[in-house]
Amino acid sequence: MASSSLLISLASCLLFLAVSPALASNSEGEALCAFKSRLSDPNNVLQSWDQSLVNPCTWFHVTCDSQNRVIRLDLGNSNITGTLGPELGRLQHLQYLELYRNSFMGKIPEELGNLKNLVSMDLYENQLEGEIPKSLSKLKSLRFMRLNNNKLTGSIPRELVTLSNLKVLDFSNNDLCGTIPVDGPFSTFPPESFENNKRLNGPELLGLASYDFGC
Amino acid sequence: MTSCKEYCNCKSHSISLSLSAAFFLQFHVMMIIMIPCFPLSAASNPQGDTLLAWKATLHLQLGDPLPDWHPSDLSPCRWSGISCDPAGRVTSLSLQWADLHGPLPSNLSALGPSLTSLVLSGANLTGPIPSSLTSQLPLLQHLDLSSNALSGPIPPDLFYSNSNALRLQSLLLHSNALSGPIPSSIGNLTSLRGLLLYDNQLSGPLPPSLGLLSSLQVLRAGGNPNLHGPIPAEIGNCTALVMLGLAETSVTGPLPSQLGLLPNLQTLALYTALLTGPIPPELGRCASLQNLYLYENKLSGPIPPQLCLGPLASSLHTLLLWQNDLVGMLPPELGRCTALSIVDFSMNALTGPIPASFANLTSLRQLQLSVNQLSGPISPDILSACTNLTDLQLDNNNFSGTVPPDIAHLLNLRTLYLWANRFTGPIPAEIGHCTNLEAIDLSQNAFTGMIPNSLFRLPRLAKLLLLDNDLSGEIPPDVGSCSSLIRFRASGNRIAGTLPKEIGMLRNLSFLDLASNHLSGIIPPEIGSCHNLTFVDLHYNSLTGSLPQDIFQGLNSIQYLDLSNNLLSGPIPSQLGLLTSLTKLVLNGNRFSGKVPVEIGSCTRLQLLDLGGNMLVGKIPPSIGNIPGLEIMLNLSSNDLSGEIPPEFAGLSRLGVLDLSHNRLTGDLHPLSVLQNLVALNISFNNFSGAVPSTPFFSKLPLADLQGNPALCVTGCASSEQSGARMSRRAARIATAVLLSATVALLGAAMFVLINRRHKAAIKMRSGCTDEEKDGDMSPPWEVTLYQKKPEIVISEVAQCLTIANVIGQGWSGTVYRTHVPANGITIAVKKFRSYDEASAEAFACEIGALARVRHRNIVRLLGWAANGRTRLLFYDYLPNGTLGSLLHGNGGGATVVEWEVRLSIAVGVADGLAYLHHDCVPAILH
Repeated sequence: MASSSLLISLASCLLFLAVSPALASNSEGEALCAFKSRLSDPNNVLQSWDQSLVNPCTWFHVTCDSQNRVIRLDLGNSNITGTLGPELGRLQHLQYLELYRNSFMGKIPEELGNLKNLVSMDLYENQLEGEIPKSLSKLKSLRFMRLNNNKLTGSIPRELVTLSNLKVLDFSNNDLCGTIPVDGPFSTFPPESFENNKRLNGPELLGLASYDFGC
Repeated sequence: MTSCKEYCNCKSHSISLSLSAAFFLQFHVMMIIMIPCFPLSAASNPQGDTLLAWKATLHLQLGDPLPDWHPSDLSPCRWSGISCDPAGRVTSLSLQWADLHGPLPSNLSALGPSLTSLVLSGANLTGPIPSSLTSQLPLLQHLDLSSNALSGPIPPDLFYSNSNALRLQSLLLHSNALSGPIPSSIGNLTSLRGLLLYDNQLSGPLPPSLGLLSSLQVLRAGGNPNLHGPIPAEIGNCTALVMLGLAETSVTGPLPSQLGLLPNLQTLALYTALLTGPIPPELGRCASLQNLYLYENKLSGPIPPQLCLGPLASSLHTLLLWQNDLVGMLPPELGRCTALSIVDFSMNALTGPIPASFANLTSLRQLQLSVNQLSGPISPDILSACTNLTDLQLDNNNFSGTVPPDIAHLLNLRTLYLWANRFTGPIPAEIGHCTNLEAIDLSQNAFTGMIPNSLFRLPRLAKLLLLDNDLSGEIPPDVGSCSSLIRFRASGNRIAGTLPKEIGMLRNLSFLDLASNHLSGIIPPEIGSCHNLTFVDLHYNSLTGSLPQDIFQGLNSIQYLDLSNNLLSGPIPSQLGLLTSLTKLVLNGNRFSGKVPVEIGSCTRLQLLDLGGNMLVGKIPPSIGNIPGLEIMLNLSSNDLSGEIPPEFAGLSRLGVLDLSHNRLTGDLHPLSVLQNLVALNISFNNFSGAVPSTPFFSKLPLADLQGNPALCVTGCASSEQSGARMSRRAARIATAVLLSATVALLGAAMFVLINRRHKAAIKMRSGCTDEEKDGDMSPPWEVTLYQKKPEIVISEVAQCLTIANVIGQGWSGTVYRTHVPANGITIAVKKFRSYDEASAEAFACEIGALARVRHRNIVRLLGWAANGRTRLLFYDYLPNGTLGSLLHGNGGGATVVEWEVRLSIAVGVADGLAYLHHDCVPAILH
């Protein structure tokens, strides 16, 4: 019964996807709907995500501004399994992406770099893997970036030093390698933000050792 | 509150493609006629052997699906799936929905003289189609390999015949994983009546040779996303075609006008592709056309009136043109297609009115014209004539005028979407006659008058959406009789009167939104009986009275509750704590009094709590600080709250916005200093005291967010701010403590001075190191190892220099300090490891072992190390400016872009990195 209703909702979701482009006003609902279709949600946290609605502003765990634009996605601690998709990059007005303490797998989509209003990216305590996308350096409004306790690999993109608003950063407990940037906001992050990345080699030496040294 | 529109046009046409199914069913029946077979006298049967040889290639893990294929049988004619002719020769092999798990038979030549039908579908077969399959079977008429997992290309040789013309009448290869192009040789199958290739991974263009298939009745190749190129004009030669399906492919270009040459065509399914250009008027000549599916393309131009001028007029049943770029008016000629049942032109750029001739479409069940630029009124004639309508969706257009009462004729109507138009006048009470209505959305129009009582007597109504109109009057008590109602939204109107208590009878109601109206009176306690409520928004009304004590008892599903900007008074019921699903609670702008209930801490899922602008008194309950999910906003502003910020507020580490302004709160801001997620904070106009925490967040906070706290020290605060407003016993106690500790410190310092008198003078003069030992970890005895005779390092002098003022870098595993060695007048760098845990100890040992041996010019020299029971220190060269410059920039003379201190920490970093590289220390040396 549950699985059939899931199928139906998925089907209607896909149907909705096929229909929506012309309704430009609901591209965000469409994106969230596509996101939902990737997820397993045993606690029915996403039950209210009804694709037939004109916009997602009455969905629970979604917050809109006064112009019905999605500014928050609060799904921390929700026992969700699944992957993050490029569609999240279409939530142009998103300020808070709170997906911490779930079982998200796979890579961080580079499209998240399109969230130019993002203030907080909390993906910590999931099962994310792959590299930290360079594109995240486009998140000029970002203040909080917590990717700790995942399975991220590769080096820390140097481009992130341009995120001048970054206040809190936590990359600890991953499998990152190379050296730690020292410029920009990185001069203020404590060592704890990087601990337990056993292939991470300390601060970089500009010009002498490549940043992906040891990767 | 701005509008929340409801519903888009969700397409739910159940497109029946049963035509071809019926065709082939008939075919199957013909082939499955069981012919009694008589065993041949021959001891061994070559046809049976061939079949057994194939069976031997199958991977039959889950039992034998062919248990009666006995090798000992003289003839295979009684085997399951086998049919024979009277002479005992196999004419048909048909195995469907069996778990065969293996390849197709590679050699069936023994069956060649007799086999006319080969059906191996839904049998979990894998691998390629053998190219010799058909040449071995010259009599084959029916080949069905559908619904397997066959891969590889469709072999072109399949359609070549070495002797006679191939007799194949039906070829079913759909629902596999076949790739590559459709072979041009398919044109050789001149007897072919059915060709089903859909749901594969076929690519390339459609071969024009398809036009040679003059007997072809069904061609379905949809669901091959990589099929591209134009639809060949030659398709017009397939005059027997009944069904043409190329949906969900990448076919491009215009629809060929030659489609009009297909007099038998009943279904044209070309949706979800990349078609451009106009809809050819010639389609009107397709005398049999019933179903025209062209949605989700880029078709342009107008809807051709010719569609309904020819013979098609009496046959066309379904016309789906939604989501294209069609323009122009709806042709009045469409009214001649009197068989039309489903019409969907949504999401185009159509203009003008609905032609009056639509009143002739008496068979019409679904009329969907959403998201166009259509205008004009809804004609009463259409409503009284099209009585079979089940779905009328005209939303997102420019329709105007009143909705005629003739809508009462639509007794079959299930959905009525008129939102986002310019309708005026009252909502006709006659809608109440449409007793099959399940969803009504009239939002975003200019409807006036009351919500008719009759709407609430619709027995199946689940969604009633009336947002942003100009509705007035009261909500009738009849609302309670609409027990099927799930979603009721009428915000943004001028609805007045009270909330009828009958609303409590809506046991299925999940979503109640009556915000921004003129509702008055109390919130009826009966609303607590709506156990399925998840969303309640009543903000911006004039509701009065207190919240009934028991109202929250039955509302444990509620996730969103917004009662803000009303005139509600009395206490906030302590039963609020029962709402464990609540994520957003907004009670702002009322007259709530009394204390904030402690029980609010039980709402553990709360993400947003706004109690601002009330008359709440007493202390802030510490339990608020324990709500783990409180991360969006906490607003307690503009109340009469007193006391201090509970220390538990330090636990709100995820909170983004905190507003405590305009209360009578006291004490210091210390609990807020650790809230690292704060983006906005307002504590203005309270009685806070002490110093503003010296964090970067507070230093950047606008003064307006701090003002109105006379005893609060914002800048230049000395550490002894205990004075100010409070001349209390506590302050006196603190002063005593300060005095006492100062005395102890003085005594200690005096002793220290006595002991270290000689070194002290030198250090003070040359290095600026202070004598207070801030770190208890720096006490002797030290174990010291020095690799160089010079500089001479005296550990007690070094220890005194490891102060905050001398930090030149934070490393991975410790802190690096600049330290002056008075004996030689030189400066060294000292790295102090962060902790004395095991990993750090290993790193330390590793670093010592590695760096002591490294003799590379560009690498920082390790001078030695020291350790006591608690701390470990490493001594490095502190590189003079020029040396470091060349180290960093290669050729010396580099500009000093990087701050000096940063460079040193960088230099130390690379030394560690190289050591790791060369000596393979595990774990790595981590700064």
